[in-house]
Amino acid sequence: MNTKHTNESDPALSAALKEWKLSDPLPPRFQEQVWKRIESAEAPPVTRGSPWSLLTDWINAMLPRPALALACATVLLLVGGAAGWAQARHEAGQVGDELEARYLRVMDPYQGGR
Amino acid sequence: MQRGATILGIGLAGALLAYACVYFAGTAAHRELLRDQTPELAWLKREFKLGDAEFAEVARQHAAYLPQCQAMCRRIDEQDERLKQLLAAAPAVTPEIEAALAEAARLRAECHGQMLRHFFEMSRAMPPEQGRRFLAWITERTLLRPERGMGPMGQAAHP
Repeated sequence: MNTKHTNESDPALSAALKEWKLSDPLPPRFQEQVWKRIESAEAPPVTRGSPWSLLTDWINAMLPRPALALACATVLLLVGGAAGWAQARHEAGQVGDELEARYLRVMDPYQGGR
Repeated sequence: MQRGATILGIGLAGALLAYACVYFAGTAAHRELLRDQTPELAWLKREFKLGDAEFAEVARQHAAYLPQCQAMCRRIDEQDERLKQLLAAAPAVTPEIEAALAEAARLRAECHGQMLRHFFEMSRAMPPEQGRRFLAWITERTLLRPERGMGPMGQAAHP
C-alpha cells in the first residue's frame, strides 16, 4: 500500500473518468478506496499461521491430485480394515474364553468354590 | 476448498465401511456360536473339530451326564451342610465330625470318578487325536487344578 496510484498512468482511463459526469458528489477519498480494493483483490492470499489452516490448505492443495487421493483412500481403507480385524479378533477371543469357562462350569460346578 | 474436504470425507467413510465389513466378517462365527441353544457345546464342537456324527454322540453323552452330576452335587451339598451343623455345635473334633468328613471326602471321590469316566467316554467319541487333546485339557482344568479339594465349602454352581 506504499505505492501511490493515480489514473495519470492510464490516459484512456483518465480521459474516461474526466468525461464521466456524476450528479451526486463522490464520497471522500473515493479514488484511493477503489485502488485499495483493486490491490487487495490482486494480492496473493495471506497464509494464516494456525495449524488447522495449514492442514486445510495442504489438503485442498494435495487431495484433488488423483494419485495422492488414491494413496490417501488406500491408506484409510487399510487402516479401517486393520482396526476392524483387530477388534474382531479381540472379541472373538473373549467369546471363546467365556464359552470355555461356561463348559467347564457345567462339567465341574464346584469350579472356583473349592 | 470443498473438493479436498469431499475427497477426505469419502476416504473416511470408506475407512469406516472397511472397519465394519471386516469386523462383522471376523465375528460372524462367534455370533453364530452364541445364537446356539447350548453355545458351550457348540464351542466344544468347533474347538475339537468334531464332525456332525461325533458331535451328536458327544451332545448325547453330555445330556445323559448332567442329571447324574446334579444329583451328585446335591448329595455333596447336603453332606457339607450336615458337617457345617456338626462343626457349629461341637467344641472339638468328635467321632461324628470325623465320620461326616470321611463321608464328604468319599462323596467327592465318587463325584471325581464319575466325572472322569464321563471325560473318557467323551474322548472316545472324538477323533483319536482330538480325544487325547480333550482329555488332557479337561483334566488339567478340573481334576488336576491345584486348589481342588481345599478351601471353603460352597454351593455347586449348576445352571
